[in-house]
Amino acid sequence: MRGSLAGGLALGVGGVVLAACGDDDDEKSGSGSSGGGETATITFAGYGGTTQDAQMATWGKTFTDETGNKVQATAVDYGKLKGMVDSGNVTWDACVVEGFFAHATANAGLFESLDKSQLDKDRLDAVAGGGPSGDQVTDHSVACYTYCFCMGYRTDHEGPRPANWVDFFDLEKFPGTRGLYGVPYGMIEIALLADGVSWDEMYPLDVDRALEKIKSLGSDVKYWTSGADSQQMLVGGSADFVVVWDTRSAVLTLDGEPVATEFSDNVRTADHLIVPKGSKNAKEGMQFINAAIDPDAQAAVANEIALAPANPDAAAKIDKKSNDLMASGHVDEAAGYIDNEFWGENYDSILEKFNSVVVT
Amino acid sequence: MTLGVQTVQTRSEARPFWPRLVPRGTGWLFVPAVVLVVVVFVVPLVVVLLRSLTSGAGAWEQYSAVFGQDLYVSVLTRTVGIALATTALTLLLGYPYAYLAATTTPRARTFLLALIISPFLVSLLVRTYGWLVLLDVNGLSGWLLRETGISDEPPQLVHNRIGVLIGLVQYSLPLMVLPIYAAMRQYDQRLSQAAQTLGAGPFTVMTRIYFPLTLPGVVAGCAIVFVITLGYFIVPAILGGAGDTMLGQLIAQQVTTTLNWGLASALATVLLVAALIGFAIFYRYSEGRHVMERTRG
Repeated sequence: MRGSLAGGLALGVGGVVLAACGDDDDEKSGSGSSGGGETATITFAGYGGTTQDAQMATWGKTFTDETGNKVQATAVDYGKLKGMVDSGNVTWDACVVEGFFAHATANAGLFESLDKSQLDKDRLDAVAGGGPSGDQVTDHSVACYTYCFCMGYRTDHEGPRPANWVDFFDLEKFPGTRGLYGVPYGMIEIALLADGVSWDEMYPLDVDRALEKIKSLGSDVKYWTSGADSQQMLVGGSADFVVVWDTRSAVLTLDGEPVATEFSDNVRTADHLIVPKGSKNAKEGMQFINAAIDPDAQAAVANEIALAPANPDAAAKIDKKSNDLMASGHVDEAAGYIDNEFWGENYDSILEKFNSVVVT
Repeated sequence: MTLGVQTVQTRSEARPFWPRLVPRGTGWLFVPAVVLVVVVFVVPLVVVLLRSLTSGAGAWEQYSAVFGQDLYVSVLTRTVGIALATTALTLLLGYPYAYLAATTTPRARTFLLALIISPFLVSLLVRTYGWLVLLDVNGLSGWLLRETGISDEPPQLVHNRIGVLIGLVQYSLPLMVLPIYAAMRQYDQRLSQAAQTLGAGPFTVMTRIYFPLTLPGVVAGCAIVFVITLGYFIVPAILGGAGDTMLGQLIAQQVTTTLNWGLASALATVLLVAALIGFAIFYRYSEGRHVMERTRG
């Protein structure tokens, strides 16, 4: 769930990082480090906005409670991550990335390997079991929240509204403007579902077939570039039916906008936390990941901003109102879970094909 | 008329341009600026150029990837088209505004200049989202059209080319107005009076004397707006549709999402060349005008 490139820029990557408070390479002090005199301030790169505020207040608080270390926020930007790692001047210690990005073997050099000595085994095992085998925990990343692609729509739209992806692509029966994510991730799956492909035979993705389907929408489709953008499409009225991330349209309903969410056949995935290669506080970065996947921290952030947990043990502590808004409350209706390993290897070529069809 | 031509000539005679730029004795003042330009512009540029040539299997691999695909060629063409349209619209709006600012009372002038610069006080991102809220179907413009009964179906003003042009023109307007205003302030009003004494009507004064003499400002404004618009990616990303994607957006995607910096560098180099060509044409045009005026005199 990327913010937006623009959003990332806006947050401006306030480069001033309290450069590595002291040398805390005191390996001897061991984990737990409750008695250690020196505390570190680590930098957590996320998608900004209210989401990162809530993560700082929940994950960050747990991190400080558990380790005594502090955390400050900055904006994530993959380009900057690569630049830092390439130049050896790494100022981030933990960072949110999309599932496919964590899985891409080409990116493996950007991440520290998971330090299992800093990660609670129960929490890690619980997260690993929260999604398809091998997806949620990799050699260098741990899923930190889940989300899904679903359909937001305006309730004041005249005429029938699409109830599933087949309807969404049927312009004759369901006239109205569509909104799609401006990159292919998840959109290919949705187009193939609409074209009659079952989830069992989804991968490897038939990209050409999906793009033909997207092409069939013609000019009645608008593309959004950020979560805020997708919300504005629904509120501003420039699209009637929009593929959105869960929560995004649900909170509009709570705000009293004439917007509702259709969760049937939603397409699930997760974002991951990583520690950038060469982080000066790699140990504390791992501890931050450990704090983020604590069931209580996961439940706290879910209750605050309806960010669906990656750790299923949080489920019992989440209130019903939040649950109804989130991907994790609609797993039964999901079509399936995105194959991030496939996307990791093929993202670039799919993006180029997608651009060729959509942009030209 | 003759007077105007003479002014043009005097200006071009004052040409030994270089010595004037580097006054003797204080030449060293130059050094920090040159160092800054080299470190901040030239070095990164060379890095980008080298990366575009060295990151593929062969030196031209990235470039054949760029020119071998309809995608990049058509987006480049579109980008140049949008930049030209923005430049033309900005000039159309900016020239009269600069004229007003240059010829009005000092107090009104201060106000007009402050007004045109004021958008810089607000972040571009906020302004662009502001346009989105204002211009959307359910936004202020749509509401006004409905309430006043002008239109029940307000036109789509964002997520399309119109939205991109509105956003880019608003962004560029000060960059067009300021150089034109500067040129207009240098204009000697007595030239107009002299022309009128010799029987020239207001239209002739404007087209034969005023406009040619303020042309350097126009060319400077156009060059700045064109070059800056070429590289823009935030405005088209927010206010445009997929069909309005500009090359800057594809470069940003390669830099920040796919991390394919080789291709990004090749695309950036292509954009740079397009900017240089545009710049050369504007420059050539302004030179050409001077030559024409001179020969006519």
